[in-house]
Amino acid sequence: MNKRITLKVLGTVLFWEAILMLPSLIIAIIDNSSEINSFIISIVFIGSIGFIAKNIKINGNIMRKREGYAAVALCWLVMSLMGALPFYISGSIPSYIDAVFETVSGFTTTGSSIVRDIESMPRGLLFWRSFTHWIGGMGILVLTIGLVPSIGGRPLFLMKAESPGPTPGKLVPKITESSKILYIIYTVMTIIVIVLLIIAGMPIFNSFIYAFGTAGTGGFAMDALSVGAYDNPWFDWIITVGMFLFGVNFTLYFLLIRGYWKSFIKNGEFKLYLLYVLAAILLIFINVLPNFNYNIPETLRHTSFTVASLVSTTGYATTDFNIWPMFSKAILLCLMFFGACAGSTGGGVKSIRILILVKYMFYEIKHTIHPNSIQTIKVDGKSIDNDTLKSIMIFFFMYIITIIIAIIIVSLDNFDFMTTFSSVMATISNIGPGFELVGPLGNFADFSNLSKITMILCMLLGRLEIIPVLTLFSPSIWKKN
Amino acid sequence: MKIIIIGGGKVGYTIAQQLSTENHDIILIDNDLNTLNHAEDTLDVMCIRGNGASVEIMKEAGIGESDLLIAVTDGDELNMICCVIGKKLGAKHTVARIRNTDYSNEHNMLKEELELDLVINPEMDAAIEISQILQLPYANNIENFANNMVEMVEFNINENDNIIDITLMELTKKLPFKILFCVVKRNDEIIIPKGNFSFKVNDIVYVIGEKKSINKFFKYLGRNSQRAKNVTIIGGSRICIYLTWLLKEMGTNVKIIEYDKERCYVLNDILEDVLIINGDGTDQDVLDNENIHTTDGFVALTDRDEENLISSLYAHQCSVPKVVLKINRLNYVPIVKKLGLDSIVSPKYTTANSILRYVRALDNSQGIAVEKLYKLYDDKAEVAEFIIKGSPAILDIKLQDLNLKKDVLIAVIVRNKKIIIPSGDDLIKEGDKVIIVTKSGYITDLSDILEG
Repeated sequence: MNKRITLKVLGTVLFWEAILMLPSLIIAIIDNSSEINSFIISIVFIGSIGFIAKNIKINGNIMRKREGYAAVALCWLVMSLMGALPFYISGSIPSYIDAVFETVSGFTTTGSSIVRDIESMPRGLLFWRSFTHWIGGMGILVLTIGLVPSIGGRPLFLMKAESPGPTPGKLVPKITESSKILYIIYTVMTIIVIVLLIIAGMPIFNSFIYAFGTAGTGGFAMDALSVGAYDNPWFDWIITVGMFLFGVNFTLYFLLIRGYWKSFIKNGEFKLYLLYVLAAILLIFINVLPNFNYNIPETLRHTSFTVASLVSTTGYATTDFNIWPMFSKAILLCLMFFGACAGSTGGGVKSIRILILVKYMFYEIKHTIHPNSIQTIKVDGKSIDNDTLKSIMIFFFMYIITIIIAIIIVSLDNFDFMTTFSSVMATISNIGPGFELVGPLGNFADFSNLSKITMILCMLLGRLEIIPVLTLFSPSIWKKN
Repeated sequence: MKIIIIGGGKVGYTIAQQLSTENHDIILIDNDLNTLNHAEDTLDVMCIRGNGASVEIMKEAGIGESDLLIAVTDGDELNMICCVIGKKLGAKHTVARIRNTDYSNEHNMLKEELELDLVINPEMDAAIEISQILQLPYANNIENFANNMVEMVEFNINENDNIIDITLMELTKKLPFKILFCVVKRNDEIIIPKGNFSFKVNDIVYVIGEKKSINKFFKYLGRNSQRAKNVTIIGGSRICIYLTWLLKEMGTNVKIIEYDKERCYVLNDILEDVLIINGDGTDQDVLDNENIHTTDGFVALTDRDEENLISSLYAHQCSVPKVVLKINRLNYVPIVKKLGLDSIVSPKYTTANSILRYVRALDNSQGIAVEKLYKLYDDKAEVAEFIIKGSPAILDIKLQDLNLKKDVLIAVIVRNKKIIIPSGDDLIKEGDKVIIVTKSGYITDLSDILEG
């Protein structure tokens, strides 16, 4: 691995992270609260490290796949370690590991929190905490590529490593243009959510916080009861639709803007996503109707919200779904596993992979019955080549094996099975809340440091889709080229 | 500009590579997944898999809004169809590669009937290049500018040349005719020489000037300016056929050595008054039998770079005055040059260059157009010919007062068919043709030469 290139990319990312902290600083200054200093120290520290590393000369070396992948994983790790500084310096989160947990949870759009009393956190920190969702949702490297096109020569690998999905593609021929378009769509959609929430009557600052959580499909709230604190159907429906839409592949929005609405509707991944969302809403609706005393609008509102929240891996809650019947919880658990679409801000295994794997399953059965049959697996009329297929299957296996290892480590804390299992699922799929102790009203503060570190890794593995992170652990990547 | 390239082979890839670094939107269409993966990983282009002639694929690539369609697949006919359909679907300009000798006389008709804007024939271009080199044996390379009035010639400085160790300033005073030394390559370094520069042995120099002056200069150097009268060609490829036609027109004797007997018969059908030998061109016995020692020019044109290299080396060793070889893999070129073989022709590179030239000219619709563009020393320097239209910031200012960028040289001004090798007192006027030499960098507009 060429260390200079990697450092240069890292420097650029840190530099931008410092800049992205500025809005939070401004809010802290407006409030004239205690965390101003912690932001100033962090910005100066991160900014200067970034600035130095950014100006490293790369001697005409170009970025290869390995540098791209390692750089992305390294950036996310260092960015999280640095992003935790304001929480730690201000003393809002006294333990550094907790602060890192909170920041990783923010950047990876997980939304699992270790803060017990969120309502006492100063507004500047609250804003930074939620803003990390927004940055992490579409990805900081995608942002950097759009702003600094020359970063390392071949930024495609950075984009591939950071964007979720088996085959992230470009929207337009130029990669910088693609990044810009993605961020424009993302920003416009976020602004729409903010405006709608303000119109519906939410205070302006709160609208920003909840819109960031919705857009990044993160889930950090500023109320202990999450969105449920307001008990306002308008808010719930706006956020429900928002979460669902941010879980859709952004390429489809681009096609929609260009007027290809047919490809939007006919897209196989979107259809599957829509199908399991609607099916889950229907099944859970029937199942939990008694819990809401047969109040149909109320039940529909809460079930839709919860399903959209978990399938898009946001993790907001309007009600304590922990007390719902087991059948509903099992379905929610499935949704947590499936996750949203590729190329969205959501996490999980992704609808497209499920689609391809299911098709492959049927193909294998058919192939056993007709051994000489020849058939390729097609999605949207295009056949999936063997390399992609192989990478999807190995990804699936790695996902499962990571979950298993994480469960074994977390089980050392000796909580009940549902807590242990769902906490791992909630972190690797970047959702946020799980069930029982880590349910929508609970939090992750009670876990040991070992479990927290495990979950930090789970969140990063889940967000970057495993392979980029694992490249860092390969010895050969650290050798001189 | 939005440019669609159909066919991701060597030519397609080279064009895509160059154009994407010049800030165009490139969409590459090919059938082969590996080709596309390679292109996507190394270039900033969008790749689409499929048959480039299909309407559906073209629409997916956004043919309606495209400025240019370049068809460089393996098949001439496919390229033509791509262009015809592309034009119908709204592509503003189309370029097709048509290389088959059967169509060589029909290019103009095809251009008109199929509404092609440019037809490129790499083999024909290569043949023209080779025939020029054979005409002037002292040159490694020859490029023509300003309707062939201006010539730019690459040559090596030898030990007993009488221009060594004097500064350019003195040298220009001594010479009774006006020429300009525009680029020098010394030990992998590219130099745009100034007045206090002096030549050393083994420098590779480009000199530019009127044809007559260039001839006089080489006479002054004491070089043999006889053109090659007997030429031996190894390999009966398409280039060989075009080249033979060209050489026969100039009254040169041509001998062709071709390994494949069937091919020999084909050549015999197409070509007249040419000696065709059936034998292995890499075999020294065969070459000796055919009196390689007495031939003036040797051209290696087989399909394999290695064979071309071996037989050329042998010819070089037999002190044949002019040896030209074809190399397909561009990364071999520096190695081959180190072995003493200077005249290398690469059809794919020539093709890519002529398409690039066309694209740059298209791109410059706002007054100033690049008429011609040549890349020297593996892309490290370039020569561009502009026509001055409109009123750019450089008009009617004495050259010495222009704030030119470093390493930019205004080499020649052509005004009313007169060639001016400019000094500091000359100025550029509207309607002039100007030839500019620069070290790399992408000059697409004349305003690019000024500082700031």
